[in-house]
Amino acid sequence: MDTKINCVLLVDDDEITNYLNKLTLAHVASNVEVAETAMDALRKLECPENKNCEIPDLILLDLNMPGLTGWDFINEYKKLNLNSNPVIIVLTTSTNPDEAKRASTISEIAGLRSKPLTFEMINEIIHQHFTS
Amino acid sequence: MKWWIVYQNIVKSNTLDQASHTLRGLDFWRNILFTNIIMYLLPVSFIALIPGVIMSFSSNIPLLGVYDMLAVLMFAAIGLVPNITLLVRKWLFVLTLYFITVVLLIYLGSFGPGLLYFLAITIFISLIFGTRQGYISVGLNTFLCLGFAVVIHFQVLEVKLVNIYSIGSWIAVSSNLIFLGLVIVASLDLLFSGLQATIEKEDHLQTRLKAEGVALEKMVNVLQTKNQELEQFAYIASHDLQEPLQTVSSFTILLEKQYQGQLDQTADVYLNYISQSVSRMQALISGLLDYARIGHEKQPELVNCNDILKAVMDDLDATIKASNANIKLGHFPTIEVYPVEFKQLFQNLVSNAIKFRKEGIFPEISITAAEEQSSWVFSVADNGIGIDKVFYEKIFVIYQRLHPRSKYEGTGIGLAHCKKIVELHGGKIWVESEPNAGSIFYFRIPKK
Repeated sequence: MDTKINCVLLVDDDEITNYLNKLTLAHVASNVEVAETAMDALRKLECPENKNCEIPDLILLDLNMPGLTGWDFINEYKKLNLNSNPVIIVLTTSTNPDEAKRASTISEIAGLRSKPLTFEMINEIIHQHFTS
Repeated sequence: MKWWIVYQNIVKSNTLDQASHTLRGLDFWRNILFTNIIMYLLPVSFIALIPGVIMSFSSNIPLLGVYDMLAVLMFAAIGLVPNITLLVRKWLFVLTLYFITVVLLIYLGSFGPGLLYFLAITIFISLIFGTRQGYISVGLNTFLCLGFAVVIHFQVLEVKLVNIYSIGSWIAVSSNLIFLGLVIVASLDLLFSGLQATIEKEDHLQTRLKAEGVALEKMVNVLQTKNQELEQFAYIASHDLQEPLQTVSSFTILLEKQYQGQLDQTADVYLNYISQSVSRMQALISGLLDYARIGHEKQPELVNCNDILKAVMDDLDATIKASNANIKLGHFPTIEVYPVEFKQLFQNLVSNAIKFRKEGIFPEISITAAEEQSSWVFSVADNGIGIDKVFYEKIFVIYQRLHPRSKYEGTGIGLAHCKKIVELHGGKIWVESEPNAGSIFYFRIPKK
């Protein structure tokens, strides 16, 4: 795999999921940032701490999180008006078709995938969104 | 008295309308009225009959007495002879009245009760038949009065009327009867059509209400069944899910015990994550199991809530001491509740108040009960981290959490439990709070 992503932001409240996803992304992403809440993720986008990862190229977003949900995150994200737009992929445990339908109506969301994140899945995402 | 009851029963069985009325409208009550008129007329008619008969014999007009008795006999027949239709009985009644009226007029003139009877017939007909028949009777009265006018004018019969009146004065007297008859029929019509409209409206409303009631009952039944099915489903699902999980848990523990440190560090991390996830899933499932079983096959009991609060304090003793929490208890009523669930409710709210405390200050918790007209309102207030208004509803939904597990432990079931318990008691739970300004959880339990 030649294409490497510079920076990925994982937004998920589950520590174990984040650990697993970091492992999965290790060989394709140079930097992986983790936010355990939507609030945390918004903060990271507004005032980045990591100089190598000011605006992520890819955001993997969980929907069902404590406090603000993934949907709430998208609403707040729209207000940020970032210089460049990361690819946002919703990564959810839920297999509810209503959520897929809802995600397809939001232009900021590039795709919706079911957990767990696999090597094949990440390769597909790269192929779709990062090879020009 | 026994005779009176036997008599009543005979008259009723003969004259009561056998047709079943779906609508108890005017026709129904007209028939009831007729039954009662006949029932009371017979005994009461003796008040008029006895002096009438005595006077007729002493005044040397015995025929009048005989006619009087004939009329009473007719009334008796109308009430007591079986197998005559109601309509025929009614017409026989009217006919008898006309008979006695004419007889009275002929023998006693207008000084006698004749004209009074004409008016009475109009009223009776209006009551037991209706307005149209009432007007017909006024017409009939007019016709009969004109008949008498002819009799008077041509001196056809050797009767009292002829002796007393000239045709002019008879017309002047009897025209009053016609006028009063018309007024009475018109007034009764107004009254009756008003009543009929009210009855029909009431009946319409009642029919609709009944239909809605039946539909509602059906819906409640369906909902109840669905609810039971759902509870059963949650119970079975969570129960059966526990078993394989238990196996995973057991082997993870074995693996940790026997091989920890012998594999590399990454393997230990994996193992640790597995056992964490397993215990979390066990907590989630047993929470779901408990949730499904709230109030299941239990009965409310009369319980002193002071005792419940004391038991909660005892159970949470270690947590309270460890967090240096100061808990103020008010006075609590003795009410009918599900004791186990009600204790669980307080336990969840108090342990939440301790769990979500602000860093650097000791938890101050105050628990009170306030009486309202038809309910008790309990409150658990804390000085903790508070809740944003947008989450007031979300916190009561099962598995919904506001904070990452790394910050506050828990499954997100506690407040869902509380909500279900309060609803089991027919009550409502809500929160008033602001971020960083503490929370007050209220729940209202209706008095039985």
